[in-house]
Amino acid sequence: MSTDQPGERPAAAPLGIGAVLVHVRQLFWRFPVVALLIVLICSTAIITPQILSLGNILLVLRQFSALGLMAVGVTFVVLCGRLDVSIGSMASLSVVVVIALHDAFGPGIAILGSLATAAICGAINGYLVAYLRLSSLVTTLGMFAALQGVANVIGISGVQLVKNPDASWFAFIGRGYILGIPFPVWMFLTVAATGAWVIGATNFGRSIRAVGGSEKASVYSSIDAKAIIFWSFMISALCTGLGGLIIASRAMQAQADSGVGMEIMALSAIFLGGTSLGGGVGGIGRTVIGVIVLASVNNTLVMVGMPIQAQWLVSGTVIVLAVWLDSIARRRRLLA
Amino acid sequence: MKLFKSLALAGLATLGLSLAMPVTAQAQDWLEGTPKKPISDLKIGFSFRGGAGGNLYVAQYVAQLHKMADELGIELVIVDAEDDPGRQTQQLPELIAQQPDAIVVWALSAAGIVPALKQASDAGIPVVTVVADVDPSGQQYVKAHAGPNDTLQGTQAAQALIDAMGGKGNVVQIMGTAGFAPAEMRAQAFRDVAAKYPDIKLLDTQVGTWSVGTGQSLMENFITRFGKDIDGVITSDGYTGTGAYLAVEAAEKAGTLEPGHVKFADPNAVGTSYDLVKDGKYSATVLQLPEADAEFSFKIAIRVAAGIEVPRYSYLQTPVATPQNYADYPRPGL
Amino acid sequence: MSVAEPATHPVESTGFRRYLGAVWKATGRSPAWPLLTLLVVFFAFQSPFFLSPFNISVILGQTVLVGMLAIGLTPLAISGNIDLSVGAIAALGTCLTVAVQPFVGPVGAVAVTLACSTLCGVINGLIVERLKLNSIIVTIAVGTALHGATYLLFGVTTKVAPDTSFVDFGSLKLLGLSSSVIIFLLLAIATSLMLRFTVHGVHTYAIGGHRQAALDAGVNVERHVLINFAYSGLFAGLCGVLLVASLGAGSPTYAKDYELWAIIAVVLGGTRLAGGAGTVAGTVAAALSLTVLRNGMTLMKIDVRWFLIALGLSLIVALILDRLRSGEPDVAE
Repeated sequence: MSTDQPGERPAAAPLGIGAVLVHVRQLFWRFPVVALLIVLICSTAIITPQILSLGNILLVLRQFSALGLMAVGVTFVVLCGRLDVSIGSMASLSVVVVIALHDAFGPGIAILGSLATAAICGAINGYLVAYLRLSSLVTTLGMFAALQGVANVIGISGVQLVKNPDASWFAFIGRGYILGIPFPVWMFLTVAATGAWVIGATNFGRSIRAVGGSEKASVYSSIDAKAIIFWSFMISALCTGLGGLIIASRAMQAQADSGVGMEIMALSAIFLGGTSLGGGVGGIGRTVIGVIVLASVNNTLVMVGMPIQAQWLVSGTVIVLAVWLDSIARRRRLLA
Repeated sequence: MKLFKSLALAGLATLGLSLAMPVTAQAQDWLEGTPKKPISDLKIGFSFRGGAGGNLYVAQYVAQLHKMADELGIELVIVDAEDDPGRQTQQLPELIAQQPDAIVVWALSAAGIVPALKQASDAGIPVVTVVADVDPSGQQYVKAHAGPNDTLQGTQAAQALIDAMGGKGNVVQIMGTAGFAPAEMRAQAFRDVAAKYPDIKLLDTQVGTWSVGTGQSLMENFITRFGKDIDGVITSDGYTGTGAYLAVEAAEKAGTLEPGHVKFADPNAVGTSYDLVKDGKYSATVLQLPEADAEFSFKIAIRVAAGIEVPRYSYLQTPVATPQNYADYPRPGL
Repeated sequence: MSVAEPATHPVESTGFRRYLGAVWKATGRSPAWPLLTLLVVFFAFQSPFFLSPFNISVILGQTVLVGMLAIGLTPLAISGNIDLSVGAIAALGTCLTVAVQPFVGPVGAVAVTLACSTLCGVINGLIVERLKLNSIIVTIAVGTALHGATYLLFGVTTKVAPDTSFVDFGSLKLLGLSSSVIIFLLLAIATSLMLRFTVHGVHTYAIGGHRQAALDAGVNVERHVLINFAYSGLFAGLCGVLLVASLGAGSPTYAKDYELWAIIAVVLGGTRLAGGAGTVAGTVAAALSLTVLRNGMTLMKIDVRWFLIALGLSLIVALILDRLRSGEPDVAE
């Protein structure tokens, strides 16, 4: 992907089968996960050809767009060498807030309220981790508990339902289509593209990778590491807020446990894509690949009628395999 | 069908009765006996599965217990297991130590709660299980069980769906969370009813999470996989059912499915599935209302605590709401 | 403690302050001890029932399950790693204990379970150390996979233990304490002694403090980390066995989210996830604080929904206090 080792270009391709194989091998080592994905999809397509239909592909993208948005946001944090495990609870909170405000104040205010809530959570995370220099895993673990608690309190005592879902334009966020493509997919792709641009082509992006690579060194090159970390937590929170809006708008009602477990799924997607924790290596493109792999595994297993528990077994194994292959690939590149 | 109509009527009668007559200290005909001491001197312990997950059914159930206890002057001691069977077992001694007149248990794990029930029973405190029944190995420690009958509700919903489908066609099933007894019992009830109809075929069962979002996603996958072969959808609850309906509605708009062809029923109504029944878009939803459930079961528990004999099993009447009769029942508040 | 005394530590002059300082040092400088003291004093004033011997035994009993995982995790965290798969290993442990009982008897079942859970820990350790991967990523993935495998192997329905000797053992009492509480306390002391007095313990602190320096000094880092992973797996298996002793049954749904509570206890107890510092006593105090908070809130009839909020906030406050006191950032993840 564009963000990964920017200077590297494949050598001019000589002709012949041997050369093609060399190329394929190089590609494999560049994106080992993609190879796993292709094997998985091809083998399932033999049993259930429908999984390759355009309808199914759009469906999978739409189902995973909320998770994808959140994973893109967390990628910023991971690139800084930090973790954010509070996003699942934050998504639950964002869902209950937007639904609780919807009928009383209208969709516009509700969306603003929900995003503002997410922003406040992000600011707290960011302040504690960046400026007080607390462990990000533990800080966001604390926020994970506290935010789910707040979501439960609002979820039980607030309004849980939009009275007339078809009358509100808020429904469009989760259910609408533009040019035949679901609106959440547009949101996901837009945010992912913007994120890739920010990381790949802006000073902020370069600073993030510098902080993740070596925080001390980045300070010497006059980068405000604290501000960079703070803002990556803000980005993570805002993306989570957007993800929460999609979830809320799909159902037009609030269940306080809507986001439970999403932090692990988002991290799984990021690690699957090969973004490493604290190495400053990786990028949004890799996260998008990770989300697609996770979504395909889930979709494929449902399509062949496997129980949900098999999905856990497969995705857990695939993550270890992918992370391992990726670390080998990285060592090979270092040696090359 | 006749059986279910009469059941529904009976349900209507009990529900109407319970709604019309608020529990007050004056009107206690429901005791059906003489309490060994005044009701207002009773102390009842309640151990429940936990409402920390933001579960509305649990929250409304517990709120109703508090309300009744306040009105009757009963001392209610509550411990909350927060969805952890390990914690529930460790908490029961807390209740036993306070020597209540009865302990009410809403068990998370039907088998795992048995050792704790034995302790209560050994301490001479009568145990009333509510909502979820316990494992056969623990039956000897239980004085009475009161609550909804999940197998019956599953049967009611299954029958309503199969009737709406005209006794033939293909069904997909989405269950509640894995490992949770009511989800399993309701799902099994559908399989048992469907076994009597050779023309009913169960295409696949997937496990959901009692949520609209998961119901929607899993149904979308079913639509891609089976397309127009799907004639009916059975779920474990109204949240999942609502999600499944939203997925089918979207597919109908997109032209993937024939409008109005797929039928729906669920064994545990929520507000949205009730609304769908009202609009004629959903064949049936079984009304298991938390307030009614709590009031029904707590009355049994009070009778046990007051030393009055009660039947070993008392089941809450759960009427089936259909597009024809929905107006007879209140809309669920969850 | 291998951590050097921070230079910012104020020099105490009065006798009382010196005394307090000594107490603080003796507790391993864990924020959990002041927190526990505060909570106990507060709830003792709120409810007369709180300090009754019975309630104390209840609190101890409720601490054991998560506490067991937390003790097992402490050496691993001190050596700079983490294991997020312990909840899944404990769930597997409950199923195994129940499932193999008819074939090998109750004692054999415990042996099989402990062997398997230790093996799970070794696998985690091998993946992390041999393949040089991040322990957070690896153990999240292994936990997910194990959970799925447990469901597929044993099914979703809860299995009742055929032999009641487990439950009878779980309800044994000695000096008013149940057998599981006694096992828990003994193992906590044993782990504490291991960390303080064995070569393995000293090396564990050294590896967490500065891995490269330990390597340079000729410490077999891989072996010590592997032992700590195995240790954490073993304790997860013990947690599973104790769950069966108290529930009389096994199911893949048991021990859900226990790993998160355990990590919260480890951190609240003053162990740095970056490695190099921490004590078992601190972990035990933190695990007790969590139970005391919950138990006290129940006695005061506070809706437990507030417990999560209180817990999250107290974790963050403990971190901030630790940060202000020590002056050293705990930045690694």
